[in-house]
Amino acid sequence: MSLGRSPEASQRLRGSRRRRASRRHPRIPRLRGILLVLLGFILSGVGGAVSFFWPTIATAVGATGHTIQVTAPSAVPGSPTALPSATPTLSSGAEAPFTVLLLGSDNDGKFTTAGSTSGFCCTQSMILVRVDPSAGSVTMLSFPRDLYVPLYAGDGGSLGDAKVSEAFGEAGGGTDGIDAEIATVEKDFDVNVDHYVWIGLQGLINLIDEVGGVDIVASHPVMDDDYPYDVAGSTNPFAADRVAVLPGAQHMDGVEALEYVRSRHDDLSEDLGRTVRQQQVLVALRQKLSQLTIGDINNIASALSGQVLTDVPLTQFPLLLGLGKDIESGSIQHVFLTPDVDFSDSTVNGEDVEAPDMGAILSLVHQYFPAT
Amino acid sequence: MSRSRKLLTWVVLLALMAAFGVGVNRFLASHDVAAFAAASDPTQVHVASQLSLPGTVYFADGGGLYSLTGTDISQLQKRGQGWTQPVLLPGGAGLLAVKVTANYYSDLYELSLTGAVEAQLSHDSGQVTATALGNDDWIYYPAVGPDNTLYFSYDYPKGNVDDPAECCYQVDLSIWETTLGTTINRSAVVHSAGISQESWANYYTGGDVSPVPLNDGGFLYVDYEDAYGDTGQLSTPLAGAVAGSEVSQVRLDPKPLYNSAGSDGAALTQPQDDCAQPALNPDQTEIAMICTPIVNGAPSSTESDLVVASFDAATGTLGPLDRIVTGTMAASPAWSPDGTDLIYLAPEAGDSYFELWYVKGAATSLAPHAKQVTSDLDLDGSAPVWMR
Repeated sequence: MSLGRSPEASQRLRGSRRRRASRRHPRIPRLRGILLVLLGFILSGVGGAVSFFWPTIATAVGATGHTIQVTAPSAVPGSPTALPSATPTLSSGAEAPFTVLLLGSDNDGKFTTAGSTSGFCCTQSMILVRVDPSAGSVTMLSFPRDLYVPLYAGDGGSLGDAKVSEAFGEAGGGTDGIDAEIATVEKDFDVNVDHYVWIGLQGLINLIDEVGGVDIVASHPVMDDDYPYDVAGSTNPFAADRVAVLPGAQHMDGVEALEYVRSRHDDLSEDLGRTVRQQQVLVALRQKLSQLTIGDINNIASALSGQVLTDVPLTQFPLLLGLGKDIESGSIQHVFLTPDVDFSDSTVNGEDVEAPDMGAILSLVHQYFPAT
Repeated sequence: MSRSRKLLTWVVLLALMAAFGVGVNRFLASHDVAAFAAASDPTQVHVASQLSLPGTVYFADGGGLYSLTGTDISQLQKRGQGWTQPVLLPGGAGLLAVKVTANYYSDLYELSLTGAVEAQLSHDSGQVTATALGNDDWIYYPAVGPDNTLYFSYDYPKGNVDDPAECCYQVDLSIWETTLGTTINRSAVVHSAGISQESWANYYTGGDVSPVPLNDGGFLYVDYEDAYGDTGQLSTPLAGAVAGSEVSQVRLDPKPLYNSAGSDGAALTQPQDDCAQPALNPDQTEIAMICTPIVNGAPSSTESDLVVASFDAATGTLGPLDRIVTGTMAASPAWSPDGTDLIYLAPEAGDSYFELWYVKGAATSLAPHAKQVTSDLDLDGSAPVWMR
């Protein structure tokens, strides 16, 4: 009996083995194919999402990531001793309290001469916000723009004494101006600023229009015959508009809301009245933003494109956007510096300013914002 | 599987993948919040038959004037024209309304009940330049008494009489009166040609507004004062008010002195009640108004209550304040022709635009229940008018 195989038999045997092998491992290529298909769907879905969020991504890249560059302060004006380093310590964890400096200003350089970086005006609004997610509380503190204090650049260098709102312009506006405003607030008022959000006038208009306007109860007639006409394409920085916001419940679009928070000439409370109105609109805006869904983010980003700068991390943005969705309006604490208590009218080089009583101001500030 | 079948399978899968990507994109795009949608044209809005109000309601929306009769809304004046604050002439003979040229001036017009302009009652100088705004004026809050006395808020004279250099920073509305039909223009006001100033606003408060004529003469109005008092004389803010805010009071018939700050009218409400926008029922025994509650130690910026109180014009006294609608931003109440029900404005739940609401039996002690009449509109905050 011969064990040898004919060539034909051997070939048949090899073919049969191949077929058996292929039947034994059919899942390997099939699994590979399924994984490939799944990957294809995932990539396609991600592509669809990325294309949808592209305006948001573009705005985020342009608006965020500018970190605070503030050096340690030397001393707090009016304080007898130098303070320890107040280099910002960023809060860790989404539930930790954090402090944000909200800055609102024109960024059109309307007072800038050609070829110069100087001439940027000032921050029209400065509100320090402390969000404590675990306590469910928000505190807003407004600084009057004419408060006469030492100004500092982002590197800690002195910019001389002037109105607190002028640090932005003294540092040349833009991100340098923001650094200077943060440094000035931190050093003069002995507080940490964890993050900032800066928004231009047109950005505020766009944002409010995008959310369909805001609803507020105007506390009194806001009348102004000398309201700056510097948005909507005006080329004359000294042109004026007339503003009349009537008292009572109002649904305001972006332009009307800006007029309401920016007008200051016919106000018995002067700039204090304006800061009250600014916080009022901010709370109303929070109410609208708390209704945001994922589908609105793109439009909001487009509205803010080129008009906002911030370093708020993504983890804390939802808390800030809604100022904490779980935080009721009634638990928002509004804090203002009071005329004749925290500051008084004064004149420096012929310019009307508010002379601060730093002792009184620091006492008030530290009731709500921890000292460094 | 044949090669061609395999190829077809991959083509189908690739198409499905592309469709999935597009689907994800469209799914995300479909999640806009309805509350951010633009308001509707009032003539396209459907009012449910069960909310059909007797008579006709006139209202302003988006710079146009409209009437609501039963469940039908008709346009009286086109949108975007600056129309606001419609009021009835005595006996329902027609309407008065304000037409605003934004950022410049406003004027007062008489219209028929179908919206046709019958006469222009005031004439601003209409400078409309950014450098001569001092020649433009605001006129608001028209109201006509049974004797055809026309009351209105006007920002003349502008400027601080004690300091003319401060001319352009002080723009306060004061209440003036004339006889309906008198032409109102700056020269007429300057020379007091049949037009007289009835109130003198507290400086830099924005002024006196919302005159309501009384049947036996005189009028109610609303004035504003600083939380530290009329002249900042208080060391602490008025009870319930926060530093930096202004509070409103409903007052009765001021007694102005010649060419200087005169005395305020008798106060009907307290500063801490922060009441404004008064509306009297036809026999003037009940007053509806809007009062801002104190929240967290300060007047609320997001809530205003609809309040009803009894009123005795003879003694100038007000009964206890009954807050019949709370927890929303109520505004601009108006009584029904028979004086029993109220309409007012408030945002729709989850929306931001002001809509028309209705309260039956507002003057009774029974707990009233508010019903929403319109939706998707953008009413401008001025009071509607309700006539038979």
